[in-house]
Amino acid sequence: MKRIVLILFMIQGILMAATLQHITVKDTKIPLIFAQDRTLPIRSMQLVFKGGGKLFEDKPSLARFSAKVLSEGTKSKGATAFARELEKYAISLSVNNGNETFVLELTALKEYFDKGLELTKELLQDPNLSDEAMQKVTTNYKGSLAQRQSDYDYLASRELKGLIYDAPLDHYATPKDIDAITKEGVKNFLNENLVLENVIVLMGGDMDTDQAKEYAAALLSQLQPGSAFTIPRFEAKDTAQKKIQHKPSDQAYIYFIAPLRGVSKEQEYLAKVASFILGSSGFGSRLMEEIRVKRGLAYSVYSRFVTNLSHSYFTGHLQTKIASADEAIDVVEEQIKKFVEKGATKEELEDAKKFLQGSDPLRRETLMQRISIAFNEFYKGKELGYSQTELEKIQNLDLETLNAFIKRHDEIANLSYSIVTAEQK
Amino acid sequence: MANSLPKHHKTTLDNGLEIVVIPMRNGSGVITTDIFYKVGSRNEVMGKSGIAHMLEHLNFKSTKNLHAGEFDEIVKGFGGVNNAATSFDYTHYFIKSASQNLDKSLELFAELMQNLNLKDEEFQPERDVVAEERRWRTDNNPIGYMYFRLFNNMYSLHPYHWTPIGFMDDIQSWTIDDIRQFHQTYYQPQNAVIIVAGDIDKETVFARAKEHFGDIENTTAIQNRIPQEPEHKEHKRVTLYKPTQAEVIALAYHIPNFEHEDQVALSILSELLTSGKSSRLYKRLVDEEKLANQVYAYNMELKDPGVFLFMAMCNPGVKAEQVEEVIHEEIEKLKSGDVTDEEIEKVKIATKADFIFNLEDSSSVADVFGSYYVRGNIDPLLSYEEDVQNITKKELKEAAQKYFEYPLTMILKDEGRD
Repeated sequence: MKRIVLILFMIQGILMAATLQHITVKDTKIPLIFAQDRTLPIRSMQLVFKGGGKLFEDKPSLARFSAKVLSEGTKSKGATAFARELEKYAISLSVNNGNETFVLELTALKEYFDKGLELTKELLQDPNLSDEAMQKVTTNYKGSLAQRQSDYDYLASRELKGLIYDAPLDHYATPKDIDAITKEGVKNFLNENLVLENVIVLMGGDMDTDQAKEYAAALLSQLQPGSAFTIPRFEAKDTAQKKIQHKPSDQAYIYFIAPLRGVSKEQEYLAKVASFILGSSGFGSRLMEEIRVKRGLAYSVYSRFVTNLSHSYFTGHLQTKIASADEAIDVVEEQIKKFVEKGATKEELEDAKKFLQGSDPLRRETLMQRISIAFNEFYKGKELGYSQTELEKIQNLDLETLNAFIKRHDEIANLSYSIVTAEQK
Repeated sequence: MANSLPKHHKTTLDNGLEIVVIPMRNGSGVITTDIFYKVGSRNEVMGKSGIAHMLEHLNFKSTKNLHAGEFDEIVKGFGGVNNAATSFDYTHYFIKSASQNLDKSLELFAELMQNLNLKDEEFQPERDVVAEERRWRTDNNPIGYMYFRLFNNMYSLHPYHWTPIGFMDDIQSWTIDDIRQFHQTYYQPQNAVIIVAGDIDKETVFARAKEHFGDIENTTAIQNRIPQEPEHKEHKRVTLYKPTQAEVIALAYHIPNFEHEDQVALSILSELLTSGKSSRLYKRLVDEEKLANQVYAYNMELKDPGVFLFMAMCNPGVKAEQVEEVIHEEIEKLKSGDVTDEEIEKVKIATKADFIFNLEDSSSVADVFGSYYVRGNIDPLLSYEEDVQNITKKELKEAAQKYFEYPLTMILKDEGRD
């Protein structure tokens, strides 16, 4: 009987839905996105701090460095003892940053979630701002950068944004940045960014709304009010450039980028469809068919339209043997030019509709997927559930509207390249 | 029995095809339909390495009833995502989709099993794609290259001598007849297992699978004599030179196959050594002595005797030999029986948590069950949680003593430096 009730709820879309709640802490109203899921004994919480990403740091690499310091446990316990406590209960507590946000994520079995919350509280009260932790983060951060010097995908991709953007988007982490970071710098970063005004709380799993609110309020009481951050907008330049790095390589790593201007949040569904047809959907996409399937030039090729709050662009990449590099670039250019001039075909649009509609359950299979969809809606200023509205818009999309959008964005054909290849002998 | 795994159901058709269903009852409306073939690089011969993987690529080309690429078109058309992978021991193909697409997914896999064309004109460009894949993942990637060379050195006779991508010279020299022969031998119902996990019931899966696969006949008996690796009691050191700003070290030991009772102890040793920041090697190498920024140790559980592998990425300026010394010191501690109750307790809880976290997603569930069924024995999986609960310090000590004795030590250094 219970099973039947569950199925009914599912059809009505109730079981899956995440809701937007609010809690008030120290007179600050804080958004809380919550999704209940009692199928497994798991609880999860994320604190997302708007403005704590690498684009808004005072010093280069400070956001990532600060995330690494917060991964070193508390000052009083030290990294290993703190980790031992987490691991004793299989609690996962991770700290990371993106371009725009700084994120703390706690996941645990239901029975150990309270313990996880307690440890997270300790971490916020007493981050490990010790000389030893600073030195360890410095050494390991520089160590991992050194390892990445032989990763040619990394070397090509890190130059990409600098081809069409100025600071801060042109920057990537260097050992010099890391050496210049001070304990005071990290402390200020955490104090300025981990504040109540900028936090969005995501919670989910085997608990009810009241419990979620209680948990969130208890943890957030550790934070102080601060100033609300407004995400600025960075616009791309029109200059097309090519940057080549020579390495002892068997392949050319070809990364490309172009501006993408003026896509409003109401038009994002159009970008999604265009992106799908041109290069983000793997086999069947124009680029994959032309580069891999017809010509065997590369193992894979992808391109996508990226629409962030702070900046938007079109990008893609492939790897091919040195002798095929010019041919691959010609094919990419020809395909993108043809795409912006002639647009998609009716068949391609219908195929995209079928996939995007049919794959909707796959994007909502796990609790974390459902929460992150709701978060993205909220973060981009859309109402919760807007992705369903977007799906409907896609189903009703006609070819003329799509192709008008594609034609209007002929800036994506203005490609810049970052290439790692071997020196010609 | 203490077990977090969901219940699963199995049936075998008259032609020998095994069908396994793991209903997840989570209301997700999502399933993963995964067909596993009992063939991997393990079934290849020297000089024709990489064929199992090549064939995986060619499965998406034309069949009697599908033109090249149509498989992907159909799957995309119902909103499914598909992929495939080839490993040492098996090859599998999966479609993740809404539950109502089960029938179509099975129909497609049945079509591939019996009607693949294997045309030379489709094979030739795809061979180039595979060569690009090898350049990208192996030749041009220091860790990928090291991994390949490690197996070259660990095994001399057994086909684990190469990783599934195969040698570049072999990739360049197969003929379509080689591929056809390989396909005819290994792509038969008696050599496959279908796994369906997710929001679905067993009756539906059994009925649909029987309809699509029940009439497919086996074509030939499978001769499967795999040359077994002789026992090695030798210390071996290999230094590889590649452009790198920091050294990398790998230590590898021979261990028994996936079914062996010592695997549980070996898994626990790997957890004690490198799982989490409080683990032994992480604590010493990364936290205390700052010699490395990454370290891992794990037992590769394979159909034939496998490998226990340690790998560490050194910090710039650190000699791999310094890291090697620490690894040996930690191994010696395990051999002397220096393990605490607290450490074992941690592994027990972590094991339970890992199982539960893996149950959210139908593809990981299909993967876990499939990887055991395709190797011919589900028991090690079913008893794993209980075996971990029952482990003793003595067993851990004995396993360390028994297996951590004759390492292959491989060091990656910068070209021109020593």
